[in-house]
Amino acid sequence: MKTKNILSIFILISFMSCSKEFTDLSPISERNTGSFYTSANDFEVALAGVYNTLLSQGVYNEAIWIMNDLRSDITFWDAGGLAAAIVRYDDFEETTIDYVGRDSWIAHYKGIGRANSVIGRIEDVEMDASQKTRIVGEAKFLRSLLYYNLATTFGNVPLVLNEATSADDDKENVQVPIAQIYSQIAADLTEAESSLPSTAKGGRATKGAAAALLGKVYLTQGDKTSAASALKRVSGYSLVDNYTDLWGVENEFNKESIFEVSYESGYGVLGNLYTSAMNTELGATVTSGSRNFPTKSLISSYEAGDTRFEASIAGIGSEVVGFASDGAGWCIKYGTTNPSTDNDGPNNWVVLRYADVLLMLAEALGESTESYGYINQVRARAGLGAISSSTAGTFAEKLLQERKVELAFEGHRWPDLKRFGVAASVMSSDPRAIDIRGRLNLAIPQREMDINPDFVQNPGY
Amino acid sequence: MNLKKYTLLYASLSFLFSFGAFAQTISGIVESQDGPLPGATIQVKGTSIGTNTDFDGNFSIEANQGDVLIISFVGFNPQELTVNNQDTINVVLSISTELDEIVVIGFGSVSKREITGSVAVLSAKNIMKIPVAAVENAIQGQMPGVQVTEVSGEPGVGAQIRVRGVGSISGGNEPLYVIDGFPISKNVAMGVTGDNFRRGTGRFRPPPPNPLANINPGDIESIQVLKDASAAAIYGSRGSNGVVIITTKKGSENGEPSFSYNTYVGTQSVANKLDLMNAKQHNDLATDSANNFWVINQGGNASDPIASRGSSNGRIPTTISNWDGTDTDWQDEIFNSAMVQNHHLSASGGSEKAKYYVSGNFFDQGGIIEKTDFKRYSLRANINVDVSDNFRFGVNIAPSYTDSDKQPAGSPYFARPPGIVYAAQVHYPSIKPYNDDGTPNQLDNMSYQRDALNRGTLTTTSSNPLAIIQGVDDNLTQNRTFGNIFAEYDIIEGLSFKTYFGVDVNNYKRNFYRNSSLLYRNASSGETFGQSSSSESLNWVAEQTLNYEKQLSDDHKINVLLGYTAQAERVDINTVVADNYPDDLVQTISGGQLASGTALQEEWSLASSLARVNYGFQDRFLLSASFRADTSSRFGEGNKTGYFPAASIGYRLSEDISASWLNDLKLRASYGQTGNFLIPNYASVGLLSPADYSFGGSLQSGLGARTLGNSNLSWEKTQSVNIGIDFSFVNNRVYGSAEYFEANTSAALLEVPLPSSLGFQSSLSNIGEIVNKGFEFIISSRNSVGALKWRTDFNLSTINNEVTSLGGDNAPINSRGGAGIRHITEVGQPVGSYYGYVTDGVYMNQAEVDAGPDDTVATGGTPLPGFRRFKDLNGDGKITTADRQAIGNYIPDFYYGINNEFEYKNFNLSFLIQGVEGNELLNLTKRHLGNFSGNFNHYAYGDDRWRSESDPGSGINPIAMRAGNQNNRPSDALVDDASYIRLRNVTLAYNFPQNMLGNSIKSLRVYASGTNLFTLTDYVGYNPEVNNQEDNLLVQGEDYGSYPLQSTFTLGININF
Repeated sequence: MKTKNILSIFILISFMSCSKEFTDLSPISERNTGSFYTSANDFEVALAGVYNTLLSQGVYNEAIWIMNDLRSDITFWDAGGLAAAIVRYDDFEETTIDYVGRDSWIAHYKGIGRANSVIGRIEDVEMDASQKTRIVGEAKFLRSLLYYNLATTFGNVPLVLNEATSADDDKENVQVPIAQIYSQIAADLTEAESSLPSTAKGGRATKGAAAALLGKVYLTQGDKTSAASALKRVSGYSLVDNYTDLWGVENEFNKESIFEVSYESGYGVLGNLYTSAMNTELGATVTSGSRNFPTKSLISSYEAGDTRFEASIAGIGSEVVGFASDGAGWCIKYGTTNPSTDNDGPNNWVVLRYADVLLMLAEALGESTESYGYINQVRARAGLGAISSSTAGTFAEKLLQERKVELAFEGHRWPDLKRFGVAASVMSSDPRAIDIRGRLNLAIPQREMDINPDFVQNPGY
Repeated sequence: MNLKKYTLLYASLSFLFSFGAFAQTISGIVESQDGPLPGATIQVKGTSIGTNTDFDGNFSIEANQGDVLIISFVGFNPQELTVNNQDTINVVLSISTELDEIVVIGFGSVSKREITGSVAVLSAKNIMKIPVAAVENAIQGQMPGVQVTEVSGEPGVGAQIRVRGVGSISGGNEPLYVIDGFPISKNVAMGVTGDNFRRGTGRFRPPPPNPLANINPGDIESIQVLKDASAAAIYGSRGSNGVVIITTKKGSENGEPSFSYNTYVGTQSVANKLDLMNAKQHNDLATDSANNFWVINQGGNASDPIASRGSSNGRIPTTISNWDGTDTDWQDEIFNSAMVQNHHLSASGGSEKAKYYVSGNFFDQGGIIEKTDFKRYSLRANINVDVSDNFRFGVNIAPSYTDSDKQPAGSPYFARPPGIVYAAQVHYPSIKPYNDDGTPNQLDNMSYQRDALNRGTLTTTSSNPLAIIQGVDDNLTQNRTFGNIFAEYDIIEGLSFKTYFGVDVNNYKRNFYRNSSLLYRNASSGETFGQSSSSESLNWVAEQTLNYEKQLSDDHKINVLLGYTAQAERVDINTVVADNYPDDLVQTISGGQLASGTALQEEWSLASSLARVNYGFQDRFLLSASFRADTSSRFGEGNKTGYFPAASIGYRLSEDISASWLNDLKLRASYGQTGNFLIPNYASVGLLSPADYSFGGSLQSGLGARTLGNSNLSWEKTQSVNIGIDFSFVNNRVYGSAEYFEANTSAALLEVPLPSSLGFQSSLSNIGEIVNKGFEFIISSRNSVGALKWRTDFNLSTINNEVTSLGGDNAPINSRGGAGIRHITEVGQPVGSYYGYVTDGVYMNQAEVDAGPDDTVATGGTPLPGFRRFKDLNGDGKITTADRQAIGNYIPDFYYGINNEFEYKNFNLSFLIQGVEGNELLNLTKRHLGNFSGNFNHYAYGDDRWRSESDPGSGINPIAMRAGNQNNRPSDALVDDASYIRLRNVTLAYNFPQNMLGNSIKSLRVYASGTNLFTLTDYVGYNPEVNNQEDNLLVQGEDYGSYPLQSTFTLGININF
């Protein structure tokens, strides 16, 4: 009997492990997609993960200002060594394998993927309805912003709207016409605008942000009527009194700010690299070096008495006239004090602000008294006199000039040049006389071309 | 009572219990087929009465009728004879063969005669021969198909074992170890050591501690390696890399307690030293290098004084320009001789009902580099009890504790902390090792080699190796208790049920401290750093098996096994790091500022069902079929369970051939499928990693997907075929086997690139295919069996490894190792081949340069006379990146071992020669010691270099020039043949004859032994087997600094009493 008892204990122990749970083990020290996304809090956390991608080097931390400013006529950089890849973008000599384009593509889709997870998985989760609506609205706004960047940078890109759950989920990895991207953005932003609150703390997406981005997208598509209508819905914002007061950590989330990316020092992974990278004085003391210098073209674009010059550029002196060579200045919009650690700057990246909206509104309305009024609001704040239809130059030239100096270093220039249809001519008539070689859009990264042979490369590569 | 009564009583009892208990003298001759056997043992069973035959094989012994005599002689089958009333017994002993050995095959055992799969066997007598630190070292060179590679000589660091090549690119290639029935496999990508000690990258991690280091080799009864799928398939998803079955000693059935004390003491010294330049040679090289740079690159004159040279690369330090005659051999500075000692005391014995084996072991190996000692304390108790005729149980328990001091010995000189051996190699011989006060010279070392104007020179900075030893304290302890209990019940005759439960509790603790005295390269102050890590793992297994064994009739024999097993492991790892210690007084974490910490837990589980049938017909036909189903937590949701079938057949031809010279001949063939479950624990699941966001200063925790997960992730599959022949000829004096195998691994894990638009760049998928094939051959011969016995064992294995598919369009995988991309894994080549340009000596003169291709890769432009000549492989007239190809690999063509054993009277001499042929190493030490730049010390062959068109040297070695040369470009100039042949061990032993020992000592053996005495190789580094990144198959075979092997001389004693 004893023998049997002992044996039965053994058998019992062994077969306890027989159940299915025995081999269904989830990670203990890392959260995983199988058990996450179940509560309202999970989605707030996941949503922060989407915002987080805006911080990355492939988005606002570096790629945006390389692709939109450095590549344009307003900034430049010459260097060798490891930095040579960045310089190639400045000179339209980049290759399809250079990292800025590749990493930008990767980072944007990473954010889109995270937004897709939020949007796709929240549907079946029980939670407060208004919270759910807001979370979806924010996620859709962020996805739209990322798609807007992709479309203006690369042109025809894949429109992925569903979370990938396996390596085989690549059905959406096909290039779609850019118009399809824009109409998806328009649909998403329209929904987001209706579901987002008018105001929100700490840089969360708002109604105004959705409307402003929607206006920008309509403008890009050439739908000026819809653009004007959307931009007029951007309310509750006004220009700050002094252009200088737009910059610096103390002025973040001011009354003019519509959407900004919130960087933070001290965590190591939430700070920016551009604060030290753009400011030569600071850059000299950090390993990353400085880059993205204002060109002669930009410096000479500031009219005499423009208060925006000294608020934007240092190292030139107050006399703009007579300045002869590139390189003797640097951007100071992103801080004048060094972050305590390399590449850990606290200064936010302003994506949308009211001055941009006013100028876009003028663009949407076309030449009219009303539109000159919007432009002159911006000029007046800069300490400049009003312009009108009698001022020299075409309306488009005057508008583009205003945008050039008002929004310098803020990642708007290249999409502006493309939207106004003057990218090639402006670049070739620049003092540096750059031939853009048909490269209005950046190359589809080689890595993506290799994986999907059906991808069509952009002209010029 | 008086004595008479006693005698009477004794006599009556004796009469009652043993018929004819009248002592009689029995004499006779013990012979083999070749003649008399001197020294054979004749013993009365169950007593200590015994004798030996004389030189002519004669013996005489007192015995009673009914007593049983055991006649035995090493190498022969013992015979038992019952004493009747004869007074003469003549015995002819037959030579024993290993065919009669019982082989443990996993969940059972069979005689070697009946094996139809591929199993390599090593028994205790062969393990005991060599004093070894750990189990693996005993196997080296002794088993065909099992390649044991000593990648490092660091005490306590394990050898690498590869059974029949490598089949996994991204998973593990280590075999499964089954120790007394307990399966132990490695955790992949767990980082159990969890340390990188600020090495800059994780690439220079110290070798992982040896999982088998805590097992006393002296406790081992036998080692079997299941090599083919049919043998290993009973271990299913863990069988692909082979299964190493280790069985420890058990007590003997009917003997008095037998005590044994085995000990040895030895001295170790570095097995070989690098042939580096002496001060004069190096001073000449450095001067030449600076001058050539100054003249060729900077347009100066060689006669320009150092002071006028505007480039540091054109300047030499004052230690060279004003050489004071110092000629330091840095290798002598860091290597010492060190002691090794081993004490192993065991007791075994038992009755018919209970058997026991208990032992204790203390092993202490000093390091040939200071502060690298390894100590092992282990205990073992193996107890088997027969409760009744049909119920048995047993317990094995083996607690152990190991304690090792470690040093960053095997890293490159620039790693953090820097490698001691490498730093010693690169240091100029013209530099003094110590200051006058006896402290390591850190202010005049490689970091401060200045010219007379205190300006930098061509020298590259490096820490003083002696300062590294002084500056680093690193201690690793392992506390492991390994135990199992089992019970077995015979339900009916032939049918038994066995239940087995085992646990393995394994704890590590590691404390690391870098004190303020060590200056990292040219740092002017020390950087304190402390790390404390610990891990705890609990691994348990429960197995239930039913076994039915029956001789159905004279012709049919059958054995059926059914089983269910469950195993699970949980690992906890904690690490805390501190820095900025104010002083070196407190060296634990509490003495510094807490910098970071992590705690990690992982677990895995495996539930399996298994079955096996062995069938034998007339001892002629043998059939074995097995099946296992494994369900594991590691596999994806859609692929939880894997099925592993296998079958093998054998035909013993010798049953049908009657020839006097033929003792046994068996043909066998097998086919089966096994798996490799050495994949990360959670690779099938999509993991999320922190992605926080600060909403205007208010931090919100965020998460974002880090991995895509793969719900179809599964084990790597291997289908293998094995064909073999086993033979035994001429009175079993020549026997062995030969076999051929082919193992096709499919579903090998690879990181497959994904379209980034999915939000991920890659996903771990089962898509690669690799083939391993080879021949294995083992032959043993009893060359002489008389008074002088001589036996030879020889084994040889070939291995051919080839990647056959990498999925999709088979895009090759270029891998970045210790120094950029120098490896390629591509279809048609072995995994992890070296990759680079092919050289063809050097350009001897300008005419050759003019005739040669343009070099578009060189940043300096066209080559110069004395530069390496790279081959234009695609013939397009220029050297481009397209002119790279696979240029060698770590996998040998073949490896072999020869064991010779001579026995004459009481002397025994054995030697083991072992070698590997056709393997290459990526010798990255040549980037510094073979760069002809003078910034480091240099291999001595650098003397024979190109100096001018009229003095071009060997035509292989380029010009000395500090910069602008192309010497370090990835090329075959850094790939070296690492074939070797080694006198692995020589042992001379003397067995004291019984008549010298008296009654209390049963046997006494003393021996002298030498290990790693001599190695013949062209390889210029320390160790032709080094593998810096053992865990990463894609970049295997790198030599970037290593802890050299030791030569060891030991004296040992084995006493049984």
